Amino acid sequence: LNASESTARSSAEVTKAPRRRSIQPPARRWQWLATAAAAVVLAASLGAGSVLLATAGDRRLAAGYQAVLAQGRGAYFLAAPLQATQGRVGTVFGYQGQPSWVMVTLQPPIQQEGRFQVQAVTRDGRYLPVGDATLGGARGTWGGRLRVDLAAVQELRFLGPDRRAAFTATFDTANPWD
Amino acid sequence: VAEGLECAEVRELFPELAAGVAAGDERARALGHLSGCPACRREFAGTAEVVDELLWLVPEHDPPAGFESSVLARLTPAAPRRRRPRPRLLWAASIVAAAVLAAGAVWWQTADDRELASDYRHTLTVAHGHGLSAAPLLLAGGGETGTVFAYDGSPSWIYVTFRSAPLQGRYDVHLLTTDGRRLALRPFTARPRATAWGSTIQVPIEQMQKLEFTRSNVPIMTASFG
Repeated sequence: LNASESTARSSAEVTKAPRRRSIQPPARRWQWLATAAAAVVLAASLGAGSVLLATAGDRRLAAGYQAVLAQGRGAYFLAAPLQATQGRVGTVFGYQGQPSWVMVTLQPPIQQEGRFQVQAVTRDGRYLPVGDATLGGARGTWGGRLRVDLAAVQELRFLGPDRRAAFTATFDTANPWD
Repeated sequence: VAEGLECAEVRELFPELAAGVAAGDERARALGHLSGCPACRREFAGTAEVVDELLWLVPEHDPPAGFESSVLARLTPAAPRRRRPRPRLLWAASIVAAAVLAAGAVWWQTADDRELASDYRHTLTVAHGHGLSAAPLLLAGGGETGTVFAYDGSPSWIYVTFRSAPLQGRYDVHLLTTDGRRLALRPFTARPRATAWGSTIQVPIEQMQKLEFTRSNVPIMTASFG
């Protein structure tokens, strides 16, 4: 090659280079776009999938709970420890629904049977009778219907014959959804 | 003095003149002076000889197009160029953004479930339990008359709420298990104000199959689990 030919070839290369990109075949461009879209979809799926996987336990628990609430026409289910002077003697379960109710279990069982008047203390200071309960001995549970919303109940008291509270349970939250 | 000065000026042009790159007017002036100045002619002959020899050292080929400008461009400080983002970096950012957005959307979408599960878990923790189940309590004719709640904990229990007061009288209550046992529970005496019944149970909730309220061994109300 002489100098003039070399120069001419170099000039041609310089002028050709930018044109090569602009004449990319349409099929190749579509292929590139499809690959890019697939990568984005895959990334989004991975992101969503990982969160779904991480929250699977919560979603399963929530689904089971919602099924219970739907069956029981309820809104929520609470529990509070039942306290006596000697400490915790059981658990009070509260269900906000139609109807709302409370259920008491003694654990460990109390040997001596006792009769109690059950009283609900509302958050606005009212004292409402819930029913008469026999607990202890062979009676390890008691349940009763609430005439007010569970959300309104702050404390459940089991009053002995001397009108003193033998057991109490305090619901620390009025409504877990508030 | 004037001639001396002219000689000095013309001799400064000798390299360009010998290489053939002197400007036209300078070349004419220099040649005019050389024709009348033997000393400068001798001096120029020497310079021309050296330049001729130097030209042999020059490469045969011309530099490629753009060589000069590229060299000059490198010699002069480049103006600060605006950086274009790299396509690969852009793609990586897009993919990460897509993943984060999708994850965020699912996280936001499942917020209620997570909150519900959290509160439920708190309740179960307070009560040392594993879960609460519910099943409809059906009359022999098929109508729903209440709900049976079954709690899996320590102790496990069953609690039944009646939507309408059952027929008054005493009911025997039996729990049928998945392994075929029929366990007698505390009887239920229906009174006008008795709208619920409950009992602890000694079998795991997952083994519960059926709860029966019977009178004279005839099932009046039943609830099926599982």
